[in-house]
Amino acid sequence: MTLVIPEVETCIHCGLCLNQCPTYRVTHLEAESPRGRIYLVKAAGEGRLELPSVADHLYLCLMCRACETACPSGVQYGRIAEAAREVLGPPGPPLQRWITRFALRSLMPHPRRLRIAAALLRFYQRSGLAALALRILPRSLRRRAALLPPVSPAAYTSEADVLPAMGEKRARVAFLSGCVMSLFFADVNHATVRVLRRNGCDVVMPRGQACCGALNVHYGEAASARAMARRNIDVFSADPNIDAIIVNASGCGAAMKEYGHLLKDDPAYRERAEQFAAKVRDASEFLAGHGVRTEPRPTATAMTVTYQDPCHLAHGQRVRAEPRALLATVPGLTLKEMPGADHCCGSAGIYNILQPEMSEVLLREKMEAIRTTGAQTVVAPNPGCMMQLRYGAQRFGVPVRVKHLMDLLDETGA
Amino acid sequence: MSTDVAALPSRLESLLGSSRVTTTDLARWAIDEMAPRVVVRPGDAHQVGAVLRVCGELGAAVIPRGGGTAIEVGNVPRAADVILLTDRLSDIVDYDHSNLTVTVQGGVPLEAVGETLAGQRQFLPLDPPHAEAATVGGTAAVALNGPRRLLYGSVRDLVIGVRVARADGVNIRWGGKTVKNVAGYDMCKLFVGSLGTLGLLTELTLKVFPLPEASRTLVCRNSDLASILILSARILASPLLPAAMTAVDAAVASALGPVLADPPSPGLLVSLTGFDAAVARHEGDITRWANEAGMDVHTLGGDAEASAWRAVRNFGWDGEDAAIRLSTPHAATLTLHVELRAVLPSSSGIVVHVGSGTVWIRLPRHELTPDLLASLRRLTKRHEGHLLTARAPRAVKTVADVWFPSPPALPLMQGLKHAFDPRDVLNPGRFVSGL
Amino acid sequence: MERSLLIRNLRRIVGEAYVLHRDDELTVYEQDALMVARHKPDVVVLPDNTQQVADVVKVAREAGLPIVARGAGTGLAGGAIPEQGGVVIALTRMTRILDVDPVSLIAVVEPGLVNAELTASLASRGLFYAPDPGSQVASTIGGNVANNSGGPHCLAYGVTSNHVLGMEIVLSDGTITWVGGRAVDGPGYDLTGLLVGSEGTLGIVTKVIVRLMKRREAVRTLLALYDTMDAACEATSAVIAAGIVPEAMEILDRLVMRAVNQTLHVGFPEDAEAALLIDVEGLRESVPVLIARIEEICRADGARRIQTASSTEERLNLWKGRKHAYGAMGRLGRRTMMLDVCAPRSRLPEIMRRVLEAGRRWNIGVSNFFHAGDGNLHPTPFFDFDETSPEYARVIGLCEDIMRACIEMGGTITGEHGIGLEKREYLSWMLNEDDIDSMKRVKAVFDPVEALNPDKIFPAGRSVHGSPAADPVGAPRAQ
Repeated sequence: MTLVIPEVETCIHCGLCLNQCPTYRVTHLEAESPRGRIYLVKAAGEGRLELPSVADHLYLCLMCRACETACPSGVQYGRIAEAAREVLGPPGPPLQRWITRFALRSLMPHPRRLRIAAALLRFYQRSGLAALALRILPRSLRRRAALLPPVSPAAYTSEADVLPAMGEKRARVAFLSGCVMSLFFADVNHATVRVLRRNGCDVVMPRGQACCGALNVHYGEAASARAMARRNIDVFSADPNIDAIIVNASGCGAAMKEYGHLLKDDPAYRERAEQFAAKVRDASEFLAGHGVRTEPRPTATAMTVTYQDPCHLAHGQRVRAEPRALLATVPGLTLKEMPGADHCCGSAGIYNILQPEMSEVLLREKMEAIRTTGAQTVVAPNPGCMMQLRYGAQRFGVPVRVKHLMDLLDETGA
Repeated sequence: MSTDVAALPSRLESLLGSSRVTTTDLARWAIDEMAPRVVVRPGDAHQVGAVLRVCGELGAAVIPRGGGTAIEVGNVPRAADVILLTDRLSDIVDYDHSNLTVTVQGGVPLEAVGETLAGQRQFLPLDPPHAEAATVGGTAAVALNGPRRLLYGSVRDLVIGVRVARADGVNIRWGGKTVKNVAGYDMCKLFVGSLGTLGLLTELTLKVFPLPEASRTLVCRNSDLASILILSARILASPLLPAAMTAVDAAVASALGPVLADPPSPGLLVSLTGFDAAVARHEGDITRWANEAGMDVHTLGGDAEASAWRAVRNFGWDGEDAAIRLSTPHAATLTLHVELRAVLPSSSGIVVHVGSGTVWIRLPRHELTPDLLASLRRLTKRHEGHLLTARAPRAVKTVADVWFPSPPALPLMQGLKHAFDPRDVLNPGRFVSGL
Repeated sequence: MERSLLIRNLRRIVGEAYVLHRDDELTVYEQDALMVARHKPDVVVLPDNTQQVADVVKVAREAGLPIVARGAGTGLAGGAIPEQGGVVIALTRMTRILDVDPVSLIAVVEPGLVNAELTASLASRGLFYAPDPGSQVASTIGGNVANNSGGPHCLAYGVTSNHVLGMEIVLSDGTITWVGGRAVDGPGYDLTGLLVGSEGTLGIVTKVIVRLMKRREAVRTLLALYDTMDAACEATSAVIAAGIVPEAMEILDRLVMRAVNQTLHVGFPEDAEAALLIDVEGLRESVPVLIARIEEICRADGARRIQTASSTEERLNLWKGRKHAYGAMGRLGRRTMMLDVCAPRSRLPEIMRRVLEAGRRWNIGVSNFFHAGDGNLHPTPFFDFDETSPEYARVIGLCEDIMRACIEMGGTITGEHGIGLEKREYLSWMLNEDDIDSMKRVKAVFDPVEALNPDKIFPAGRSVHGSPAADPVGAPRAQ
């Protein structure tokens, strides 16, 4: 497979993306900028460079797509990078590549295997094993191990296939429970469903749904990603009366909105993928569009909150105003914007595990930005960001609690 | 280098014609007590170039002179054989009022430009000392700026094109009628302010401005200079945009007309220009702040305004005064007057052009002693500024360089002088550190 | 000097991480924003302070290698392309603001500081740095200095040269010196003025003393829509002729507005052939008066509609659309060749007619977005072939026609992008031998061995466009 990607021709080298890129801002190196990466892919495609020499630079990229927001030419950097990664395969030394491939091909596409893995992880965390590991592991692995958040006491399961709206019914939506959300943030899923129901939605829980495949696309395992996409399309299109497919993890939302592109070469699924993608909505997007009702409370707790734009929501889906509009409906809540709210926190999927140094630099900056707001709570509607920021609060001593937007809305009576 | 200056008059006469060459009554043209051998009046850039070439061949030194208003600025020349008058370079070459530019020959008086521009309700905001008699070329060469630079910029900011007669006689040009241009090095910046030591400005293109709808000057008076300067700081920190703002001490006040003279007290002159509504806003705000500080405020318009600013511009430049310009970062000027008062004689006066960090000091010539200069230099160094002893007796100039301190990049400047005037024809030794 | 020794010597100065020598690392430095030429350097070095810059220069000289300074590499004339190879010194790590004196309105900054970040850091003090090139979200102060960058608001505020008071520079022999200073009217020749716009050929800038300005009290932004480019240009000339100098006056054509709408969702109206975007700043008493007068003039020249930005967000959005217009040209063609010509603004309608004519004559699409107020045009031909195609000669023909027309009207071939690599053969269209000789004398004083950015600015007898050097017979007569 060659690295000839036609989209690289849309880049006219203006350089306006440079200072929006987190890795360029940290390194000041052209090769760690979107323009540089596109240029490397182009040069490799023309045979002027060897593929492996390009890989390091491509994999230092967070895939945050801040460059797409900045690019006046509309270059779809994400697609270029994904196509290049598909050719390159997963990053790192051979053992790491093997583990990554294994996890992406044999674990992620299979919900039951994921649950087993989660159960093992739960056991590891609750027994003394985690504490022991943190003592005996070499330092580089120790930090990564510490990043693992507690697995939810029980994986998210729905009580029924369809949960009816509470009060007047206004819409019928399907809900993607997601793999990370189900395993680590089951309570947020419950909160999301409650908020949807209280705002007039019948919530459908299609059984047999799979992981959305985002990680697979990002780490060069596009083939398995396509399989997962097809499965989700089949599962979600079983019920034709769906107004929207709701997602509360922005990485998943972005990935699913691009199923059309992922399956563009599959004549059997191309059109259905476009239709599917057209229905995907982030929970905040949907609720802001429909209008959220807040139940009056006797006392509204005053709170100062700051908002973290998840990369795949702000840059990947261009959803920025809606979460803020929802926060504005919470009585007693003051939103204090942090400098660089849409700067990546360094989580970026499993990037924080694969590139811990860069991740840590970005996290430090992010926690400083949060600190300057004086907010007690940071709202981050994405599991990766939540895990990273909770780790960051501890690591850098910033006393702030991290909540998902849906969780906050649920708490405050939406 | 051989010199054959005796041949000068005849060579120049054959170039220009005898009516344009003078060899009598030379003492009146003396520079630092050095009388020239000949005075010439070339008629165009080509003739200027020819004069310079001949002088270079004969080893003669040329002192260009425009209106003569700032001719004394500079160190004592190593030689001063030829005075080159630019008065015949007097054409207004192109006035493009809808482009807001004017192109003039170097010898055109500022006043003549002003009259022409006024016809289209425009003006050139250059206000050096004795602007009434200064030429555009001379003003650009010496680059003594006036109070209006606060709003309109300095002469270096206004010149966008030049034609220059190099010391070897070759005529060159750079720039033109476009306010933006990066086609090669910005040669305008090289020649403006170069005291004519690299070449003679035979033609200049400058940016002009629309005449403001309204114009007035406020005079705020108080018993002490410190509070005057505090008021000026307040104005500068506010959104207001005065065209010029000068604080004068009591000694100066008497020269500025009855408003300040009776009794003589320190004052702040603030020039306000713009739309009626904007000028009214300036007036209102400044009057209120001045009153809050216990100062009285008068308004000057028309002739009274013009004559007050003329006096400010020409401060130190009349009669046999000595004049020194001290330039520092602006913040220092707010308190500099205290340190100055400690070293200056009581016969001196100062004006502070607020916002541009420029202080002019006037004092009787005999008071300008080496000791005083040394104190002023120390003060200058403390404030990271620089000093120009603009008007001084020859005896003082021979003891200390008229400019202080010597710039760190002097070697580069010496290189440029050598590259453009290898025979040391133009104003030899007069510029900074004897360039 | 043998390559491994060179690398070792450089590593000793800046550390291993900041000496780039592998193929992939060097490849990304072979271009800046000029796409028709590329040349790999021998090595790229990223110093952190002035002494490191000076030491690197000395090593490069010892090795007999040319030196090319680089900021963010957003230059459109190829000023940062190392045509002769050598050592690229990237100043992007030197981003500190060393000092801010808000009373004296001065700041001292390092050259790698991004222009927009300087202004952003001053916002809380009510100050800003005036030169605002379209590239300001990425371009560096050092790069702005090298090119004497302009920007829409320089119509009223002036270009970079009017906002730089002094600099610390490293010369081609490694000497470190200062020019200018914190006080105005410094003694001696205006070396600061000479260095601004010298495109890295006289010295490497390592610190800059910049002039700051106070934020104006009020600002209003106006968008006047016209059915023809001609009318928009007439309106521009009329505003200036009426004695009004807004803070910015820009024109965009329909092609640009559509392209920018697609990528940046600005919301420019798409039913007008040309739009005049005007900023008026000043006291709250002056701004409405000025706006009213400008509106009157715009209407008199046939504006079909005039809209005023009603919020800061809307205003910033419109300006973002204008400033990022160049990047949006990527939607119109694989390649672009943005010109940077100037004509006196009294002749703006005329020059724009010539531009449109040239586009028709050579059958190349040309979009236009430019600083109408100071007569600085950016006709941007766009095309899908590249510089190796025989069709490329049409683009050059078009560009030369336009440059010729501007020179005939007393204009210039570059207002703010610089000569760089791209236009060096055309310098002799503007300047005769004596003029160029004078500049070469300046170069010889600063850099006698021609180590700094060689073969930039001055004609080299070989055009980067692959076509023969501009034919003197076809050259316009410089006035």
